[in-house]
Amino acid sequence: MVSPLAYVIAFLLTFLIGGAVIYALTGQNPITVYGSFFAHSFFSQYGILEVLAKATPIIIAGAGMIIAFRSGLWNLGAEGQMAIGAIISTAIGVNLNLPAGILLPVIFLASFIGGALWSGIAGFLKTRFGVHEMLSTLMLNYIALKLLEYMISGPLSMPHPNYPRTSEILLQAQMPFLQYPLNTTFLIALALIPIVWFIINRTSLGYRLQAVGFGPEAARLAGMDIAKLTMIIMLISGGIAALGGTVEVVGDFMRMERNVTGGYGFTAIVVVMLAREEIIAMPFAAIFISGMIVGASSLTLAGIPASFSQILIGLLLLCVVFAGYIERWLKQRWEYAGKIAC
Amino acid sequence: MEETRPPEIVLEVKGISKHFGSVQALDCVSLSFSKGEIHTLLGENGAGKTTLMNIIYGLYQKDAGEILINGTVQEIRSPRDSLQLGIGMVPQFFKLVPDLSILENIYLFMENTKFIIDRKGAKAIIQQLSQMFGFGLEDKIDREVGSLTEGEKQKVEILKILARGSKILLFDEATNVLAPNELDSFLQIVKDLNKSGYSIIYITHRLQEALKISDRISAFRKGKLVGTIAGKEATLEKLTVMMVGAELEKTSTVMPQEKGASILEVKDLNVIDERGLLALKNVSCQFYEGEIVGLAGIEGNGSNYLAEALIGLRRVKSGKVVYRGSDITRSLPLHRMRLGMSLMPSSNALVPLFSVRDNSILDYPEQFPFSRHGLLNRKAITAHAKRIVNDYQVQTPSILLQAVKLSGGNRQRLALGRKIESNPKFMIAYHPTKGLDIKSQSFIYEKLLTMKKTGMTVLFMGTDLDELLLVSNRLMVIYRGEIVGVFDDLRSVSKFDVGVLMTGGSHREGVEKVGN
Repeated sequence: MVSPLAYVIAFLLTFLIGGAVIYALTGQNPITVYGSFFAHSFFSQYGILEVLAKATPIIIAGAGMIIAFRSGLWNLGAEGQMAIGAIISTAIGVNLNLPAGILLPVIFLASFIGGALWSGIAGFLKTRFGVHEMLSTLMLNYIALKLLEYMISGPLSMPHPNYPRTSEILLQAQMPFLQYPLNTTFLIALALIPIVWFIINRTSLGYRLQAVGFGPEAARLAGMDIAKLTMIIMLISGGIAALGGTVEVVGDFMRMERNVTGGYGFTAIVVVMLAREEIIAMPFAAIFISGMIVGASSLTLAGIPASFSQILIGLLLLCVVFAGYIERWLKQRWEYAGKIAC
Repeated sequence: MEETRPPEIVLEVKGISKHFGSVQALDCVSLSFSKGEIHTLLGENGAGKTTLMNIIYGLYQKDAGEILINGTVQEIRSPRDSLQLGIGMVPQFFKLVPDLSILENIYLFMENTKFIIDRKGAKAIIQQLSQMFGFGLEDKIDREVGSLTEGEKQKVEILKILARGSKILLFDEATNVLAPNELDSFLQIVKDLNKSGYSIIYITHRLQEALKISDRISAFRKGKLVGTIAGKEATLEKLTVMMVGAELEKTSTVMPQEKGASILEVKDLNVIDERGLLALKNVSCQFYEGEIVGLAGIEGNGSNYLAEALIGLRRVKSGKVVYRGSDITRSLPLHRMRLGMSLMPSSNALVPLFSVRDNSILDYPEQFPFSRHGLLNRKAITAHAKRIVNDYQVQTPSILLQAVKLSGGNRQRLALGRKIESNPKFMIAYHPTKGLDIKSQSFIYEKLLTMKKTGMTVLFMGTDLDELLLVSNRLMVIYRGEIVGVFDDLRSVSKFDVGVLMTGGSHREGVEKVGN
């Protein structure tokens, strides 16, 4: 429920505070720094392509998260679900010698199922034992990431690697580039948006999942089977998020390495919150955040650590939340301005 | 000489008002509390007594009015302020740390505590207090609070505020957590505290307790102070009238009617609440086609558990629910709804952020024609929503308006329309008119009466006796999880008869009691 005005305020606030920090740390004009920051990501052709490429897994994982968040489930496990997707994609992509027309659908389908089962563990723990999904999905992330590390240095490791990584996936499993570094996987991410929009807004499943999210008590009183819905939502959400890992393997790395998921699963959560769980707004938020990640490398030229852009992203999120809070508070003040006397 | 001197007033509230949303929880209440008296605040849940106490204790902020302590106006912004002024509260739901000992729990609450716990000093104080009032906790002082009984935990809560030095003690529905055998010793403790000089404000909805311990009793109804009487002058009859607002004449004009075919039968139903205590005890009743059965019960006496158990939202410990000859005790809510049962709640019937249109199918989004093969049919839903808005007079500029923006009356009309449109045969209406204006209330009565004529059965749960006697063919009364009375012919029943049963009074002679 954040109005556009609140967003504008939040952005201004973020860059003001960020600018103050830049000035305090380096004594440089913050506007020049910001200028080069965004010039790098949004005002060069290569920059734009890179931004869109980096946004691809974020958009996919974000689409999965939105389904969960909309139904009030805190699936924070996108990173782990992506890792599972990456492992399955690599295992199949390296070993299963089939024509591309069959191999790619198999990879995507298997990744979806793997990710679904992985987050399904959290769904099961919640519906059966009442374990909060926020905890279980978060913990499952670490298990999945360790599993990934084990895979690249163990079962899936390439022969004699310089550093832990797998062999390259088969050529027919590698999706073509639109224009390097932007891969055709970006189109998959885009196609996912109307699909998820349709599920949320036009199916009875989407109707019910939103009812549970927006009015859990009303949904319960209406007789909805909340445990069953929770399970279905966790399966779909984790399945979609896993495809974020898949596109990293088949559209970027073409193999699996330690940082193949790149923290995009966590970034996706930020993006979804920034987009206020709106599926249509989410890709834009993803591209913006991706731009901040890509632009970070230009910061080092100004003598500011690249991780400063991470600070800016966190600050932005805080400001958006804060702006929403301030707005609500102001509204309440407005409505109950008059005191009631006898 | 001492007798004639007017009592010293320790606490006075003047013109206190408080609203929550559109509900006026307290409407200009003025009241004074004398030193050394037990002053009972009596009223149903939602009558305003707990709100008043929370304002005095600083948990809520008043909209208007002032609070005087020992004659001077005080602003109480938080419990810290009220504790400073010598006011302490024994809350209804205990605020203790289960993993800490009695000593530590009390120490946490004491003033001027040091960084390192002064166990010796604290222990001496606690033991002395415990001994003085016969709490019997002297040997358990180092035990973890989590291992104590509810009654003992309550004593720890009392010790907390005594150790803190409070002189005015607030008790909020203190006996709710107690087992029946703990009751008398608890009331004795309250009296003993009072004798040693503490002023006591005692909040309850139970008449018997009020009669046993009060010096004065103030009754609340619908946010207003009805009146204050001396404990000596109070009788069950007077208090019932004050509390439920019952004039004593007969009011029902509903003729008893021929019983139709049996539709629902409940046998020895036992249901357990969140704390593991019995919320319903051996409830048995039977319902017939085409009747409205009222269930009179003050909140907290189990009618909500009965509503949820009947529709399948709450597991049943033992007993049976038979609907039209088939045992549905273990069926899912959705299954029961498909069979023709329906629950009309007092609130939460709608998803606040959904539009009027989307809310119009909340009970049946998967049913034809609203969806087919899992896809929603917008046209059918829109037509359905428009019909409900029209037929049930839901005032809304558009069916796309969010439900949260509707007024309370319009929300309930929309919900009722949705329920009735699914053509239920048995409707559980749980406080369906709670907080509504008179126009919306009578609309709901009319609709239910119309549906009754078409053969629908309604179990109408409520507190307001005027309303229950207006719509019901038959009436049951629930108190502490038990059906304590059934009236088949309401022409001979007065509000007083029902009111006494509802509030835990014994049954008056001459009224036929038909226990099932």
